[in-house]
Amino acid sequence: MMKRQRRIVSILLIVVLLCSVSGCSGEQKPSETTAASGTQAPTSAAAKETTQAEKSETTQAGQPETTVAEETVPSWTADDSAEITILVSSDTSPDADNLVLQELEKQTNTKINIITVSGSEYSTKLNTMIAADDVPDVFWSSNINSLDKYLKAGILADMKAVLEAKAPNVIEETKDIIPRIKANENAIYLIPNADRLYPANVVIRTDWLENLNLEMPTDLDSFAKVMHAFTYDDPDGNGIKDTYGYAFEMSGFTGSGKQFINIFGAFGIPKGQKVELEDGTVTAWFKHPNFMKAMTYIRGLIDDGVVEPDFVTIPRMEMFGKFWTGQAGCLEWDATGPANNWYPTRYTEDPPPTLGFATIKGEDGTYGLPEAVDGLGSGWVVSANCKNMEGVARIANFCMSEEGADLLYLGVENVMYRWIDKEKGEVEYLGDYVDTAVHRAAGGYVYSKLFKPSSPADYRTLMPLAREGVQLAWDNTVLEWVYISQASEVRNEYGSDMDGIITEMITEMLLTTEDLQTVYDRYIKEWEETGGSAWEEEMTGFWEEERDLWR
Amino acid sequence: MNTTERSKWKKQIGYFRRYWMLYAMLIPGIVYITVFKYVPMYGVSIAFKDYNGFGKIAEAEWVGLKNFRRLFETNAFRRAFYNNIIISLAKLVFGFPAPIILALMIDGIRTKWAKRIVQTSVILPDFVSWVVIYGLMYAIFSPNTGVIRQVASVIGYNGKLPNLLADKETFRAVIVGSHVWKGMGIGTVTYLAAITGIDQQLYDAATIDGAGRWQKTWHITLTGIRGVIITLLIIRIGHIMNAGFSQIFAISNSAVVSVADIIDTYVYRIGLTQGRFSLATAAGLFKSVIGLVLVLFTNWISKKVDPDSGIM
Repeated sequence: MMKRQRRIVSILLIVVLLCSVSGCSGEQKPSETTAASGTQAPTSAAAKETTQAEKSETTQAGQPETTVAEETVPSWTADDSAEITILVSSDTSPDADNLVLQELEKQTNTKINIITVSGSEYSTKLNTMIAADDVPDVFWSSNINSLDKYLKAGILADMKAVLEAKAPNVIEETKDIIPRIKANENAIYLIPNADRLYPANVVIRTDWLENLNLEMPTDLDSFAKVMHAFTYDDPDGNGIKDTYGYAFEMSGFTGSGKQFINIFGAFGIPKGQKVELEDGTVTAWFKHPNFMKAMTYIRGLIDDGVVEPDFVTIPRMEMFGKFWTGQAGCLEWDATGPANNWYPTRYTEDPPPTLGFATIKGEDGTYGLPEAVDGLGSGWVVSANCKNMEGVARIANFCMSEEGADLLYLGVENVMYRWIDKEKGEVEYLGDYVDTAVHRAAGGYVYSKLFKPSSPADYRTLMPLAREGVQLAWDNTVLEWVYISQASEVRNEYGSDMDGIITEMITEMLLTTEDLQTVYDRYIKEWEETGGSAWEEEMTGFWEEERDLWR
Repeated sequence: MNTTERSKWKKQIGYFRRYWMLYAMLIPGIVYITVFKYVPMYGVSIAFKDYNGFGKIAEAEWVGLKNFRRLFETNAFRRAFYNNIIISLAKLVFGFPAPIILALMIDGIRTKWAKRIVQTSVILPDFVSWVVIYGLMYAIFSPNTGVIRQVASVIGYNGKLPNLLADKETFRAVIVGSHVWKGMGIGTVTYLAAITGIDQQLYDAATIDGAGRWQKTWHITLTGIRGVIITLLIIRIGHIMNAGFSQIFAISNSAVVSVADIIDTYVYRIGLTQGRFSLATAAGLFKSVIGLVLVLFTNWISKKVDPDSGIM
């Protein structure tokens, strides 16, 4: 009896263990997907060849080029029962089946699965999905080099035909941008957002300026003086030294981040972009002749103690918190944050601070920002394996309409918000949706970057002060820089190593006790040896070809 | 097959039939190891191919040792390798004896409830993620708002404080210190379990012979757990190239990357962020081979010292 029980228990244990092992393995996804209906759309690598082959076959057979089959069978997939997977970058994750998504599906007659990942994790998630042969149907291609890689791998669909047939809004909204994208010659692989990006403003607390009887700074000297006064002259009048002038965090400083972008502008440097030197060499912004002067100025601010000292280790939201809680009086960010999205709920002081925007000019009156031309190098792309390209076209078309942009940014009308005055862009959030967290959980705002039109809801509903700030920043985008539309082989090979060296250089220049020029020379030498010189040569060559296109 | 061999086989089969339940229980383990440990090793071939993440691995072009050559030409990899060794050795030197010492100290506590409280509380840090620990460290060391700043202000010091989390001179100490603090508890439990297994009569006999506390610790306790110490040391040395990805990823920053970047963070950066899978696999494989060699070497040494020790 005992022996029998032992046997039964043993068999059960083995079954449970085997089940747990097989349970861990998950379901294997089929590696090859086929178009469920319609014909397979031409893909990036194979597209031109296939079209050419089809064309020659018909010609050889003596048939006219436009056949009956070509007229009736679309050259794109259109399986409405297939789920469209979209990978979206967002720091907020909404509920899986939220109101906005439901409405988007209803309006476009599609089944959608939107995966949200934070901006910093986007490329990691995308690369992992691609390597696992699970390419999302729609995803964001962040730069020319990535786009080139996807095109060479043949994983992108040419959406030209389906967009022209089914998405008039997309064609209309992007008609000025699409022809300027090299990858889109006689095709549409990259669908750019049509909105103009918001460059960063120098946002300053005007109530602190009033308390200290100071004017809005207009040049580098007055900016340094205001920052000093904000730090040492008790701008909040509480009798305690608990304030700083400027708040920033390191990841926003390096690369094309917004921090100090206006200060570099006052030295004539288009931060984060490529520049052409006097000898015609095209190089990176940190080799601009005024770079050392700009860094010396910024280092001067740090040494004066007017910059919030946690800048290396502080997380971004904590850095914003310094501004929200009245510990810092200035930061560089686009006006839509400080003067709109955060205003007044994020600010802890009562009454909330009053804000203004400064234009800082350099010694010779130089100022400005580089024009942000995000749409030329990045945009939405569609997987060649997508089973419902027509559905994607419908989604893109709806999102690029006013109605679609309102849905993605504001939510479902009369459920999540209502218009007070649509002309003036005044809205009122309803019920629990007044709470930003509830609004975003229901899908509001989170997907607003998806196929963004030229007049997005976020711009139309800006508060007057934020609109003023955005306009000022747009007016200040006067700095010229070198735009190159070709992918760099050198960057593909050595890009991350080169970027790493520069990030370290900038951080060290802000902290070191060594001579700044010595640190700069050491890192620049390493950067040049790691691929920088080859990249300069490559870029200079490209610029020779493209100079006339952009000027 | 002669009679002796036949009877040997018969004996084996009889043994198998008698204990078939135990053998059957091996199956899930074998399946697990095969499916999750050996089958994925096919991916190691990426290190010898030019694979960019698109398409099938089998179709990628073979490039021999090109990826390894490229790795060693890269300053960032050489630096990551160097940092990896320094940080791992420091963690081994300071982290390995710490739980032994703590276990001996806890074993010395005579009050049962106090012993339990200490035992439980030393384990707790092991369950806290590195992201949370970074939050704690930031809250303590922040030169502007940290606890140290508050304490300094209370005692009247308002001058500049060093940022330990952004200082190249101190950052490795922060890495090793936080590693020892977090990992010490779980190792301590293992040693305490081993200590519990030592025959109490040995201590009683030693007391009668006039042995002092130190002598008992040295000759009985440490000798009694020597086998466990050696086994754990071999396992630890096998992991010496794992310098702590999640820790360093969570707490490092651009100011200290030159002293904190290790092979795993380098692999993550070039592999997952940049999508250069061949290079990343080559770096990972290089790391694993070193780990394997070190395990075999340590095992060989420990067998030379004590033939009964070692793991194989």
